[in-house]
Amino acid sequence: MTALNLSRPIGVSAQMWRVNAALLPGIFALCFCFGPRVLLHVLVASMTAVSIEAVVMRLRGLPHAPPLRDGSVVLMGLILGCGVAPYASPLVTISATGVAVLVGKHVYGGLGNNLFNPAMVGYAFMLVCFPLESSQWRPAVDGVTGATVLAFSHTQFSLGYLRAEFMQAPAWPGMTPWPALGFALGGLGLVALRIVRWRIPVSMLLAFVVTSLVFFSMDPSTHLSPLTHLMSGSLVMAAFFVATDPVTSPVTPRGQLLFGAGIGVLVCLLRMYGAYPDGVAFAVLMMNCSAAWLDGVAQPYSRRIS
Amino acid sequence: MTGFPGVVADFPGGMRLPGLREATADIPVRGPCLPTRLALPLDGQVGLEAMALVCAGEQVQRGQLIARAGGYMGASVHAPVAGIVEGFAQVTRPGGRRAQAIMLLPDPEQRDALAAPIALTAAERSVRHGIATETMMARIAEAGLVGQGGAGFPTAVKLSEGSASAVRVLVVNAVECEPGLTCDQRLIRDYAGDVVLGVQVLAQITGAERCVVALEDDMPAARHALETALQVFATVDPQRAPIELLVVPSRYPSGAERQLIQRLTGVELKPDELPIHHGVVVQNVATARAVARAALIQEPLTERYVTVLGEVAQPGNFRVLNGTPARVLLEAAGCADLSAVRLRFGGPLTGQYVEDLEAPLDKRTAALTVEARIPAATERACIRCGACLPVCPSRLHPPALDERLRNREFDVALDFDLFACIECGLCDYVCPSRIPLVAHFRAGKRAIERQHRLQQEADRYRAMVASRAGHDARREALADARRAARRARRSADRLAAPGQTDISTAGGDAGFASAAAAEVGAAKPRPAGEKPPVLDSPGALRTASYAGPSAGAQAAAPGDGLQADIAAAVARVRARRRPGAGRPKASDAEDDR
Repeated sequence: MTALNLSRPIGVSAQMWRVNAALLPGIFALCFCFGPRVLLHVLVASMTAVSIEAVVMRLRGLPHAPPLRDGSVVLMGLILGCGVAPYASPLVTISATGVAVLVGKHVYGGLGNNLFNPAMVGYAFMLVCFPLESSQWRPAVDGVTGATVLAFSHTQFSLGYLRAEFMQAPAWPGMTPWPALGFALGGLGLVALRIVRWRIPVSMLLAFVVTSLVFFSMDPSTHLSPLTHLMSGSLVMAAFFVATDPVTSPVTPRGQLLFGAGIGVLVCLLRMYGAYPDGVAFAVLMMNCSAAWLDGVAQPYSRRIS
Repeated sequence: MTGFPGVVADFPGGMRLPGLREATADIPVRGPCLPTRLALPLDGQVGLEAMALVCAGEQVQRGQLIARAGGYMGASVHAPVAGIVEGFAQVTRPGGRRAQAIMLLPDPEQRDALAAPIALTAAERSVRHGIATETMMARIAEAGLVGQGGAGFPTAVKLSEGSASAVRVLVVNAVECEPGLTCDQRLIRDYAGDVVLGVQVLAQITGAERCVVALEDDMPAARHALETALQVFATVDPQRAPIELLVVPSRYPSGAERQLIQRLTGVELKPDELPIHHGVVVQNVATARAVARAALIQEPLTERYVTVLGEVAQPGNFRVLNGTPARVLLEAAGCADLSAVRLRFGGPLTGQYVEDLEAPLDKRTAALTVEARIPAATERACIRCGACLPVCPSRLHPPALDERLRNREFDVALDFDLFACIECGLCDYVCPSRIPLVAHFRAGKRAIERQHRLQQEADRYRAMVASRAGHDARREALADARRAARRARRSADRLAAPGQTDISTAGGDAGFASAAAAEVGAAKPRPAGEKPPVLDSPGALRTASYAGPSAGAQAAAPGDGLQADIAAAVARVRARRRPGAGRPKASDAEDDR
């Protein structure tokens, strides 16, 4: 039935490649702000992901062509590559990707069965095991590694400086809003195409802004402004490309709202009180494991038992 | 809902699938094509197989009854055209089953007798008032009518079950059962008068207070035809209760019975409820027309309108004789390459694939969907995108159900309301992983039904075995009690004969103790004439009491009240010297203590 097939929603594979394409503006913005080494990591990560996936599928005796063709593995590599600090060694990227594919996905049984977002599993592994490497966002100048806004302010706040003080400091890295804007552009495109449902990104960003606004209004001198927060780190990318991963997020509309809001609040708290400058990976992982529960809370599967 | 008077509520889920009807809606009906051989299947969707009344080589007339309904739930089969019975053969049915069919070789000279049926005339209409409801019912059953919306439920059964309970609303359903189908609206355009008459006959049979004809908003021509016919009837027959036209927004599956009722009454039927439980009877519009023709001119149901859509040169609606092989219809619709297409009996969403092109169409095949034979999209793992949730008209959770069924957790699947699934096919349609969910659900339902059947059978056998064992045990206990009573009586008589002993002081008397023991059915069989054993201690008594198989409770309790018990037992034995009254009732024993 030609007409019916034309109006039929597109398949997983087509959706995944569109998501991959939507990442490109953000990746280019990252290159613009942090140099071409971003591309190196992105390419290394996606190629590693594809090859490990192929090997694992081969070892598991499963057909390896479909998962490679459908773009989900490439997408995982791209997301992970975007998160790697550009001046880290490619070996870090390779090991993080390996952890992502193996521990994040295949120990659970492959695509569709994983509890945690594989890219975030790899990313968290990298943050915990290579803390120094994963902070090298800029070339080292005079032996001092270049930091991002979040990392710099995190250190300064912990040293007891006020916001107004360190923002005048010569080492202040300066705002880099372009990656966030690039990812937002691609993400909004996906929302418009209905590949990504709006609930998770909207509730996540809204919850984040509200929480950071509460802290900022309580004490502006020891907190970054919500706008600075929003434009820094991987928050926007995570909102559109990571938290919306259908496998690891709730299915029900209300569950999705709760899920997004949970990530938003957690990211904010982790940025302020956590040991790391950014807490997106940990927040996403924490909410991943409550996704099924949130579904059950939001809308019981069964009408008869409730 | 504004703009749709009569629509009081909406059903959840569903999808608008526009743009599928334009290809066929405005093309006049073609056919029928007379195949060289008709295959008239004897099975129905529901009920028993019909019994053939003809044998090979027999000459049959058009409309002749050639197979009688196999029972209350069956439907009769009539010859659609005059010809010779070739014999019997197995044919493929939708769903892959094989069934027995009567093979009929039509008489080629009958071709011109196959002109389109003439709409019922005014004279035939007026006949209606003279026909009793019972006669109409009998004629409907005789004409082999089944629901033409797809379920194929025998119409006579539905109507007689309906008239048994109070029918408040009669709904004649002209909402096409799937997107892409136009056979119902074509039928209304061609036979609006017959349809209205059918509604009136149905109203008379069911005694419905309210008659509704439900149409979709994208069939204005059919609506116009029906309105005109209703006006004509209103002038002819003004005292009749008016027939309402209900126009519903076209959103699949609004033609489904439950969804239509929900729109009409706001009630969402539970999976185990039938429309009649809410005083509603729903009949397809083609069935309504067939009802009119059967009840008034005794015309049997031998043909119907079928939409042919998809990969054919000339899609459209066809008059199709019951038993026409699919291949004939495909060729008539201009299908160029029969090997390059895949056939579905039914619409594009719920139609069942049939590989055998010789499979015959029957009374309930509303459409033939022709798909290009392309390799099926590979099924991928569910990524829990949730696309199927908002479209489900039964508010189910398809991925959760699918997972439970895959793990064979049938009880959980039942809790998730598997049987509320109406198999509309929308979850399949929207699934980006192309998982055949409905096929899984259908298989799951079958598996659960099979398991249920097996369980019931096992329970029945167990009950049989248990009742047999219980019966034997009861009979044995009864026999024991009678034996014991007899023995007790005998020994009591023997003791009583030598001299009257005062029973109230007979504490140490072995004879009384023995009688008491026998009273509770405890004594072992003794050779006749042997003296009863001497019981001189409570312990001995206890041993004796417990020796028997029957549960003698009362006197078996040794202790302080033992002597009183024995005395009481003996007194009871004396008091009830009649056969069969061996054991005292438990309540008596309680009182005695």
